Formats: sequence, structure tokens, C-alpha cells
Amino acid sequence: MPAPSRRPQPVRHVLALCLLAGALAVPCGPAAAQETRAEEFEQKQEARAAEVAAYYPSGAERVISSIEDFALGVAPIGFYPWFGNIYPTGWLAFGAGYRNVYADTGSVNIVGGWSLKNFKMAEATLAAPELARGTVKLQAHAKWVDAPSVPFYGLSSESSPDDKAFYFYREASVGGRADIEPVEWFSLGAHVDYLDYTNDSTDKDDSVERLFAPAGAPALLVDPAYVRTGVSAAIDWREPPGYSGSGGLYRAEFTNYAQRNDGPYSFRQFEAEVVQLIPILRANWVIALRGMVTTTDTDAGDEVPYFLMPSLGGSRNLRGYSSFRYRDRHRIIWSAEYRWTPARFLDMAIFYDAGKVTSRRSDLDFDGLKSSYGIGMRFLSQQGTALRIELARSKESNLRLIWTAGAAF
Amino acid sequence: MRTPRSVVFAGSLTALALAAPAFAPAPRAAAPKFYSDDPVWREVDTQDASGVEPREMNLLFENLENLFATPGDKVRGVRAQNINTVDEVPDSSWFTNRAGHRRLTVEEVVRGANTGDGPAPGQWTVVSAKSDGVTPGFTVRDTKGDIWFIKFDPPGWRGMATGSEVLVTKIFWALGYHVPENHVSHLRRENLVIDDKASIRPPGARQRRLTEDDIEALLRRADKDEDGSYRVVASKALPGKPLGGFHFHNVRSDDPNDFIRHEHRRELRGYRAFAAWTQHVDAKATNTLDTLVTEDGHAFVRHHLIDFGSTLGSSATNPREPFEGAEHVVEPIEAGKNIISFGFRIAPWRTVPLYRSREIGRIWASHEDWDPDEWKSRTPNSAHLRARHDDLFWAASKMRVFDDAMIKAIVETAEWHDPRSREAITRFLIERRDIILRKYLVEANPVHAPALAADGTLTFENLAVASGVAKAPEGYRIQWHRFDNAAQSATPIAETTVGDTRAAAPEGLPSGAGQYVLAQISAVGGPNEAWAEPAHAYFRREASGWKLVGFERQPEGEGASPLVIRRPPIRR
Repeated sequence: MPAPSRRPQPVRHVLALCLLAGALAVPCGPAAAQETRAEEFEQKQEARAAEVAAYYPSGAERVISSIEDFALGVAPIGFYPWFGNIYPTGWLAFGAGYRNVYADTGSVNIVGGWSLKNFKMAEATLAAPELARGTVKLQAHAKWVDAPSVPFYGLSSESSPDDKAFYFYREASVGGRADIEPVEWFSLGAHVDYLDYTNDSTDKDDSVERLFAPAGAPALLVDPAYVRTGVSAAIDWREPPGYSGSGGLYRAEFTNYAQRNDGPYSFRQFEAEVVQLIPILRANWVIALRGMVTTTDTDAGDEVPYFLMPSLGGSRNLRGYSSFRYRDRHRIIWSAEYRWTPARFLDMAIFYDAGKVTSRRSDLDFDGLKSSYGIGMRFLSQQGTALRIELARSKESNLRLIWTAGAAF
Repeated sequence: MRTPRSVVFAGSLTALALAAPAFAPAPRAAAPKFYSDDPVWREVDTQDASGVEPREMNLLFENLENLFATPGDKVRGVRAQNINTVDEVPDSSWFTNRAGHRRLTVEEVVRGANTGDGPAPGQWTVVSAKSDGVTPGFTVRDTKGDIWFIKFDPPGWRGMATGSEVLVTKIFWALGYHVPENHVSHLRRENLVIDDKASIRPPGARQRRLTEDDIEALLRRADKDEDGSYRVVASKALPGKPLGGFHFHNVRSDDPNDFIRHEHRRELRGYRAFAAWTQHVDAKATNTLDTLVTEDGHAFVRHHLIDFGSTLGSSATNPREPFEGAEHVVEPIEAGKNIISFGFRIAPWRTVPLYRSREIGRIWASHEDWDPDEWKSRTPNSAHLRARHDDLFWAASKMRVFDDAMIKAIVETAEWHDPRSREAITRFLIERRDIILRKYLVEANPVHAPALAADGTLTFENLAVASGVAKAPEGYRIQWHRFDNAAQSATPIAETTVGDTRAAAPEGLPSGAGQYVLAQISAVGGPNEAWAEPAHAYFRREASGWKLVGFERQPEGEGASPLVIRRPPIRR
């Protein structure tokens, strides 16, 4: 019995043709060796099998993976880079932190930073494990802030920018707070801290004591220490919570500063804020309104230190003015924003802020308000406003650039 | 009896000598256009894939890549590359032909991928939990030892995510995709026990042992019925070893059987029409899953679509946002225009009437101005972006199988209590289906199922007309050719024009076994200019008569086979 042929006859014909065709320079591709579609398919898979390689993420994917938690706002574990703001007027700061977890839901977080204007900060936070199904949060913290040069323009809304002086500010605090959120839209908070302030000269010509007397700057170069206690309540039904197109926030907070060292600087502060968001046409436009009042109160003969008084100016109120531009015992702020949404994670806003500071509570009215206006762009994340870039204008500033994280209100 | 080698060689030489003049002037294909086994209806993964390793996809990277880069083949207009010679998708590890290929009963579609009634009753043992991601969920082992993924509705939205997921899974099963077995089920807290090895990694924490408190915390993020139970979707673990998802572009680098770029797979391109139909805006790689399956000792990768909880009116954790389906989450050019418009450039979706309900979420209440071409997933999908008219026609030809009664029956599987919910979703699916059919069955030459009888009578169907979405054209033009399979060249025989979908072949049709005929069929006076572009139907003469071996609805484009038309010599 003859041995079976190793190849089917037609293949031999093809091979013979290929040989001759090659001599005649006629192209004859490898596919000519196939008889069926199944064979062609198999041959392509064989060729593919010779190329297989284990999946390895690209460089870009590896980079994204390494910063994903950070980008998505997930709390890190271990060492992490940090950047942000240490204290108003300190500019952008960089640093590093270390965070770890204990007892499943508790965490410890230590972070330190240094700003472009030589402001320094160190902070440690110990968050207790969740209590009562996460509706109760307890936290202990300690913080140290060193701000070598903070501006002061004098008290009242009539202070002049020409009177700009600087002071050294340092704050060391240790304390704790408890927050209760029985329901998603309602929260209560209480806190107690020991605070030790240092208020000193900058040793420069524009140092605060060279331009202001104690009468115009209560507690000038005084270092008060306080036990600060406070309670707060808030109804927040803004939707979605991170950055909101509808709903409102109604918040009140009372804080008592009881001086622990010698001096007449004990005081109380009350602050109330109302934010209302009015969506129009499925939040194509949102009219955002805010009113906020802050008042302080003292016993007879006591005063509020100038560096702890309510202030106006900065990135969150009266944005056309620099931080701490106006200070006094009482403050009122009105803000209105016309917001529109060019893209899912981008909001634009035209804003108008008005406000004033006064020495008497009875002067908190609509007369003599300082105002500013501008336009802003906000890049949003699921957690809120990741980056806010705004240009603001006021009588004192042609154009002020604001570059910060977090919503104005 | 064996043929002597010398005779074979001599025969080959003779053949070459005879064929030589034909080689010289005309371009010659390297392989014949049709093989003896065409059309192939099943593609087998021939290579051993046991070495394929699991991989994790990075959702953020995937989103950024699709939003800001354009991954995949840069050449546009490429014809789908995994279709058989009759323009259809063969069965494979990606797809199983069901709708439009064989008769599907309503009962069969309602059953879908399900092989049972869901998790066995009794205690479910939690083997892991998911606290990050979009929705909370558990992986449980039932009393039979089967593994199930358990997902919930968000608080206050009973039935929204679970009902949408089960319903849409049925649709995608019927369309031919590999999908998991999903059931609406119910669990009670007391029926959950924690496996000794169960673990969890909450956001911002380390992987650790799962505790009762974790279970409680996860359940607080779920909708709870008045009787204390939870309505859930139970998704049975797919057979095989999970390998992670597949991208909608390029190939899986470690899969030896995966040689066709995913963006050129028709079932992934046509998926665009199905996603638009079901508002499946999360049609992304992380909602797919490859598994390593071993059958008859052969290991291969099977490709699945999973996670349909963000479909219809559900966004899984919230009702659907009105923009979804109308915009990608980031569109830089549009955003630029919107910035300078100060909000007065109002997107159409802002004014579309919506139907809202706690049970189904939020859907468009009217489709008067809805255009499936305008539909967009949350992030661009590489395969969707490359869909051609023939790909979308293919998709529409599947969708036409879903008649109103079938859709109504499928909607029932969501187990929504409120009849208004069922009616709203049924109407939604019917309206979108009709619009898609009116568009995609008409925008390509709708000739379908051509057949050439032994007596030379050509019959075919006009799928657009048969589906009631277009009026019949004035007639059809048929250009008849002899087709040389080896040279891939055609020689005209005659041209006939008929008023119906039936035509007699002209004189001179080849009749020898193994000979080929090409009929180029186009419509005269059709409602769309695409109808005038001929579809190519190839027939091979076999002992039993003419067999359809090739069909090209849209033959042009990159990747299409070249066809040389040889004009007969002019007689003087």
C-alpha cells in the first residue's frame, strides 16, 4: 500500500506554480498555500501566536495609575506629596505628608508644607474610627502655622491701601472636634481647641507697629492664648454635594474665645451664612446667591485682636480685593454669581461681590458696600471644585488673578 | 492511484503557460476571493491561550485616553475585518448569532443567558465586597456553591439599576453578545454570612478583613424595602478565569487568537447602535470582561459585555443625567464655544421633555428630534467611532427582530411594579428602535438575502421596505458578471432592470460546477442615494444549484477586496 501523500494534490500544484511564478517575478503570497477560510484563519492566528507578549501598561498608564487615587481625591496611605495653601496671602505651598489607617476606619495624618512666601505649616490629625454607623466623627488635631508677613490695612471699610503694613503671625493649636450627621443634609458640630498666637513685628519698615498704634490695632504685638470652643449647625441640601447646581446651604456657627493668659482679649463670634442656588433650564444657568454675616462680641472692656477680626478680600469674598484688605468687628458679605456650564467638568461664572466691615453691629446694612466683579472658570471633580481660576476687578485693582481650589461659596 | 510527480509538474507547467498571459496585464490577487468553505459561520480560536494573564484596567487612564487621544487605527472607512464573505459576523469567542440569524421566541429571549432561577435560597456567604467604584456590591457564594455578584439600587430608587440591568442584559444576549446570567433577586441581611477569608479595601484604607460593620455600611448605601429586604441584581460568575476587560481598539497583546483589531470588529462597531437604543452610555472597556475558558482541553479567551446597570434611565447610583447620550463628558471644542456663548448656546438635551420616575430614573419622554447618529457614550468608544453604514445596517437588521410584543415581554423581566414605568420604557425602546431602523436600514443599500435559483431566477429582499421603514424604489438594476475567483476579476454579461425583487438571469450565465457569478444589485429611484450604490452578491455553481458565497453591502473602503471589472472586447 503506498504511503499517503503528506500534502493534498492541489497544494503540490500551487507549490509548483509558485516556483515558476517566482522565476517569472509574479507575486505569489503565502496565502496561496491555503485551501480554506478556516486554514487562512488558523494561519493568521499562528502568526499572531508568534507575536504574543504579556500585557504591560504603557508609561502613561503607569503614571496615571500611580496618581489615580490622588487625582480622584482618595485619601492616600503612606507618604504622599502635598500642595495647597497654608494661610491667606502665603501663595502656593508644597510639602509632604504621611497617612495611615488603624482600627479599620480610623486614620492618622501628618503633613508639612512650605509656601512660596516662606509660610510654613505642620499639622497632625487623628481621626477616630467611625462611630454610630459613621454618623458620628471624632477628631483630634494639632497645628502649627508660621506666617512671617501678613498684611494689615487698618480697621474699617474706609482703610486706605496706602496704609498697608505687615505683621508676623504664628498659631499653634491643639484640640478636637465632633461632628454628627444624623441625616445626609443635616449636621451638627462642636469643637474645643487650645490656641497660642504670636503676633509680632516683621522688623521691616512697613511692620505693623510702625504704622499703627494699639488703638487702631487692638492686641498689637500681643500674644494671646485661648481656649476656643464652638458649636455649629448646617442644613446643606445642595445637589450634587461636591459642586452644586441646585439646593441651598444654611449654616450658623458660634465660637467663644476665652483668653487663658493675661489680657482683655476674650471675645465671642457668631457667623451665619445662606447660600441659595437657582437652576434654570436643567442648570444650563444657575443663579447662585450668598449672604453671610459675621459679628463679634466682647464683655465690657475687652477687645477683639485685630488679627482675629473678620476680614474681607481674598479668593472667597470680595474677590477684587486682596486677602485681609478690610478688617473690623463685624462683617457682611453679599455675592451673586451667574453660572453656566460649558462642559461636564467645567463651569464658568460672572460674579459680583459686595460687603463691608464695621465697628458697630448696627452698621451692618447696605450702605457703603465695597464691591468687586469678575469672571471665573472652575474645573470640577467628583469631590468638588478642583481648580478655580478667576479674574476679579475692583476700585483698587484693575485685574486680580485668583488661582485656588475649592468653591467661593 | 497516485499521479506520478513528473506528470504533476508537467501539468503545473501547462497550467502556468496557459495562465501566464492573464497574469501579465491584470493585477493578480495573492489568494482567491472565495474558498471552498465560504461563507464561514464559525471562527475557531485555534491557538492555545492558556498563557493569557489577568490584567487590571485603569478606568481613569481609559477615560483620558479615549477623551483626549484617538486610539486605534488612524485610517478611517476601513471595512469590518471579522465578517465572513456574506457580510455577517460568524460565531466566535466574541459573538453568537441569535437575532436575525435564527428564529428567536419571546420565551427564549426572556430567558436569555439564564440557566436557572438565580442564587439558591438560604444563606449567602460573602466572599468579598466592593466599596469603591460606582455601586456597592458583594460577591457571595450560595448554598449550591455558585458565585454571584450582588448589586443594589441606590436608596430611594428601587428597581432603577437592578431592573435596567436585567432588562438590557436580555437584549444584548438576544443580539448575540456573551453576557452574564443576571437575575432580579432579594436578600435579607440575616441571610448574609461572612466568609473567613473575605476582605475589603475601602477607599483610603488598606485591604483588610471584611466585618459585619462593613456589610452594614454597604447596605446603608442600598435601597431597602419596607419588609427589610433588599432588591438586588444577582449576576452569576462567568465560567472560566477572569482576565480583565478588553479594549475597543487594538488587540489583546497576550491572546494568540486575537489578530483582528477590535475597532474593526463589526459586533463592536454595531454595538454603537445597540448602545444608543438602550442608552448604554457606559459602553467602555471596564464594562467588559475576558475570561479564560477551557473546553475539550483547549484554552481560549471568551469576550463578554457586563454591567448594564447604567442603561435606560439609570446611571447606576443616580437617575440618568439629561446630558448623557448627547455629549461626551469632555468635548474641548464644544466647551470652547460654550464658554464664549455665556450659556446662550443651549444644547438640545436641555429642552427635551423627560419622563422621571423613582422606579426607572430619567429617560427622554419624546424622541421627535432624536438622531442616533448624534448619540454619544460618556467617553468616546474606538469601535463605535469607526462604524460604517454597513456596520450599522447589520445592527439594525438585528434590532428589527425585536417586535413590540418581544420588547414588552423583555421589559417585564425588570419586575417593575408601576405599570407606567413598564409602559414608559417600552415606549422608549420602541421609539428608539423605529428611529434607528428608519435611519440605518435606509442609509445603506438594503438588499438582503439574495438567492439565485438553479433556473437562474434571482430573488432578494429589500430589508428597509420589508421592515416598513421605506417605500419600495421604482425598480432595481442588476449587473450580471462572470466572476473569476482566482483572479478576482469580473467580466460583464448583461444588465437587467426589474420592478420587483425578482429577476431572471440573462443568457450566457455560466453553468459549470465551480463557476462564479457576480450580481451587482442597486435600486433605481430609491429614497437614499446609497441605494444606487450596488451591493455585490457572488454565487458559486454547485451540484445542487447556485450557492451564495459572497455579499458586500458596501464593498468600498480600506480593507475591502479589490475587484477588477474586465470589459469585453468591442466588436466592430
